[in-house]
Amino acid sequence: MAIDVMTFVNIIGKSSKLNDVLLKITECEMFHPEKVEKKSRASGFKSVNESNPYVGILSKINKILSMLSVDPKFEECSEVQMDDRTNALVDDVFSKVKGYVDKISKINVMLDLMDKSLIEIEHMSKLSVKIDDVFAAEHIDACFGRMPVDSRLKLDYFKDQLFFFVPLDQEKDFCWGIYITPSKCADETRKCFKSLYFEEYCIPDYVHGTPQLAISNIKSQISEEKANLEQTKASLAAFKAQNMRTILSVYSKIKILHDTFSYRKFAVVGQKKFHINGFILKKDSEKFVKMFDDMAEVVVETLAVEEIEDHAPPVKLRTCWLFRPFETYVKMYGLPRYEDMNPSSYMGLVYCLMFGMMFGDFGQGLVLFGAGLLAWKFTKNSIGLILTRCGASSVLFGLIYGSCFGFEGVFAGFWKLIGLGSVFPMNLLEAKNSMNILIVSFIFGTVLILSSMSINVFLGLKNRQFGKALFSCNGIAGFLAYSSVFGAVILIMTSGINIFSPIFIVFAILIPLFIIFFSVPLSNAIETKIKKNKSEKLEKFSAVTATFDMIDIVLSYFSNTLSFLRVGGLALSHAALMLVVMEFSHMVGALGMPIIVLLGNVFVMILEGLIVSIQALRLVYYEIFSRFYNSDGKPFEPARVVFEKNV
Amino acid sequence: MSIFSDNVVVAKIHAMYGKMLTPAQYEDLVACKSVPDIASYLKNSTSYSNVLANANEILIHRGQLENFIKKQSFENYSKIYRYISGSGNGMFNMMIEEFEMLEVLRMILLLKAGKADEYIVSLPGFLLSKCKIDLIKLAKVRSFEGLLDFLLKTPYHSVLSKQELPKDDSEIDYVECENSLYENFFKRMFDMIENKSKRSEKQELRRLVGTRIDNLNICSIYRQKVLFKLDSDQIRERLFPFSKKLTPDKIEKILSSSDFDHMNKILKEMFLIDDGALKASEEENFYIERYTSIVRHRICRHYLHMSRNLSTVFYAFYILSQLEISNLIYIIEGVRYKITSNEIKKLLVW
Repeated sequence: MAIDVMTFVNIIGKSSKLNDVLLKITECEMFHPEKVEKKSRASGFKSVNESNPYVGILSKINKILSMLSVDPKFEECSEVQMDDRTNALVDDVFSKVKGYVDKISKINVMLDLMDKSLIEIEHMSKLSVKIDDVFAAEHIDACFGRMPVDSRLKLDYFKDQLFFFVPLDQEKDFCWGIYITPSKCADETRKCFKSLYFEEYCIPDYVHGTPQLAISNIKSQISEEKANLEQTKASLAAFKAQNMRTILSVYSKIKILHDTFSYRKFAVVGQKKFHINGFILKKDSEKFVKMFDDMAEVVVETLAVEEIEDHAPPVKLRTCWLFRPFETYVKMYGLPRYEDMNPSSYMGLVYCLMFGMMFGDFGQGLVLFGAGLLAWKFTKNSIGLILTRCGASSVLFGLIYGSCFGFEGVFAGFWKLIGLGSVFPMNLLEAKNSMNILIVSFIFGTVLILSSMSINVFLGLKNRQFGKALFSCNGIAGFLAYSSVFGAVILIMTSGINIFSPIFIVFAILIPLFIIFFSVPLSNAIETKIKKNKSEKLEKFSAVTATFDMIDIVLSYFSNTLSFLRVGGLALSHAALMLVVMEFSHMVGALGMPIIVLLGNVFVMILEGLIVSIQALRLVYYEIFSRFYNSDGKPFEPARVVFEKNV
Repeated sequence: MSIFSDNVVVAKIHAMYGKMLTPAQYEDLVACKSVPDIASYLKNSTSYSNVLANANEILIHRGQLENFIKKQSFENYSKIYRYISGSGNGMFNMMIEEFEMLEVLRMILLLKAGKADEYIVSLPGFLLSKCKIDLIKLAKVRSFEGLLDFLLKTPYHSVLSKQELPKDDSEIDYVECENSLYENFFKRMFDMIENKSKRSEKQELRRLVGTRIDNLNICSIYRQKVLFKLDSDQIRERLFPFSKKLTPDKIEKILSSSDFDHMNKILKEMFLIDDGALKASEEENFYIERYTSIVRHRICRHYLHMSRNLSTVFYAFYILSQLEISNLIYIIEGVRYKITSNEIKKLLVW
């Protein structure tokens, strides 16, 4: 439940050494840079405000990589020097690659045009005369195209006009054909056909002879162009294979210089010196300082985080391997503050328990575990690892419920063997167990809420926020009021003992609630006394606001606790759904049974799996995190060169 | 046909209604910058994709696009008609009659404007085989007298021939022609409704058609009073006699209004009280056609969802489809003539 300890670092040196320092920083990937605050700067120091000189060349080489369809990655580049020769090399490669790419796209455009022409000419295939003869006639005009089928019906209207239309082909809504008219009537006829929405198609220059001949000619031209295309592609591929390493080396060099230069914005310079500051992990501090031993004109100073006022330290979570995947969920909510705690393990434990309770099935749990492992192996997505933990929890609860792929009452032998046969397996569909699982959910929710309040108290005391720790609805006052009410209710439910006496109600419930009501003035009083800084603005107390807050707090105590009943409810619904599947399987007979059981299990696993994951996450976010968690932390992002992504 | 098969057709109409444009799609369409953009959107993201599948959305003409849209609706009605044998048959025939009548009216309008030769351009080809009159021959008519000759053996002749033959086609009284033809059409429509056997079906259709007539009368009063500045007697003469809720008292109240603001106020009150269809927030920018359309749209939507009578559901669907077509035409023309999206939205009904 930890957050890595940070150390603040100041690096000061001669301006001429700034680039070398930044290169070391990006290479080691330990240093999280922060802007140097104005009050920390020596007089005369100013921010570095320069445009990055490597933007242009980086963009060019990125274009080369994109044209070659190469994913950018690091390649050894120590021998590459950024000089005119390298610039010329980039220009040369760029023009060659562009030449190939332009040629390919030109051929593709040509192929598209020929494909289109082919389709159009195919509509003319009924025509048995030469196309050139039709269109080259001296005294007649011909026009090839298509018009809507509806318009063809309207041709009757123009039967007095001097033209005739030869339909050649028909597709769904359009009729293809050619109209022929004396040249002197061409304009008038064009007007008529325009009113019929006739779409004229121009016959390309390369189309000659009869349509059949033209089609075969175009087809052979298409084959030629395709061969040409393949040849150009092969040349490009050969060029790529030959120059790939050089291109990637140059890319890596330019990327290092570009990204390193971009970190200059964090530095301030003046009096021929530079100053840059940031955070490193405390455990890396010695190694980090030693890195600069060979640079006599550079001073590295480390300071404890407590001595720093201007910068909030970044957060790097440290979680045990078992619950590390749950950091994803924590990050989705927002990182904790540096001075708070890492809730990943707590969240992981609670999430797994709730998931197991709601999705308790030995067989399905094993499947989830396996699916999680596969998902992790092929996608490296942390959700896969979360699934393995949830699957393991389902296996455990499946043992407790005696459920395996919907077959209830299994594992009785196992429980008898370890001497717990009288209690387990606990069939959820039996009436007493159904009630018990709801009571367990209620108690489970109460315990979780109380533990969240305890964490809030601990963090409040640790960070000297006494108002939050003592008087808030999630502080000691809230803890007392809540634990008294719900502890007493649980006692009545489990053992029938009623401890609600007037003294108990006054001291254990009303007084804590009274303290919560006046939490604002009480907090203000204590903060004023402890903190010397009187200028800090204190929250104003308003009786009306406090009254509404109070109503909200009391209602939320109840609603939040009842919210946990869904854990039991979903456990029951899971069992009930599997019961339905089993009933169906019995109805279809011996042959269909395995299929129904298989399909039913897949359906329930997907449906319930999704519901349970979402509900467990909702409970953690809303009922638990809301009590103690501040997601104001900023992530620890050490300076580094990112090769994989294009900038 | 049994009640059960009617239910199947009703379900089919509901499914078609489910494919009509949604408010979000209208928003997208209004945001389009050109007619090809609209065509492309309709082709790729709406139920019009089928009819526009082979259309070249870049070269498409505005009128062609409108014809495609109308054709899609007509194909929908025809699909429904295939399953109707008894109860909904009459309503489908009335719909065809209305299309036919609208074509005659369009020709009269063009004759009056001296542009009869433009009739063929917008003639929807899909109607050629459905209408009883030969629309190609209609397209060749070049005078009102010629039109009367052409319509000689049709029910339209007796209606139009009552009018005094104009000396010049520019003097044709289009409003009178429209009124006479519609009056005749509604009369036949009500005759058809009265021949229905089910009481609930009769009531529902009476309400639907009656509301349509009310709306037409209100628009007519508004236009004649505000735009043409006719006196009350002239206006009264040109109203359809089959009003549903627009009683003579109400008509007199509207006609007696002192000025336009007063009339607007009366109409707004009438809409708010009688139909409850308009919210107070919609009172600004009072466009009478939009409000009558809103009322019609809501009533039709209500019957489409609630009625179990095939004729009612079919007629409600027909009106809703026609409203969708007008919306699309407003959008296409609005975008074509660079009207701002806010102005276009004021004309739409959904």
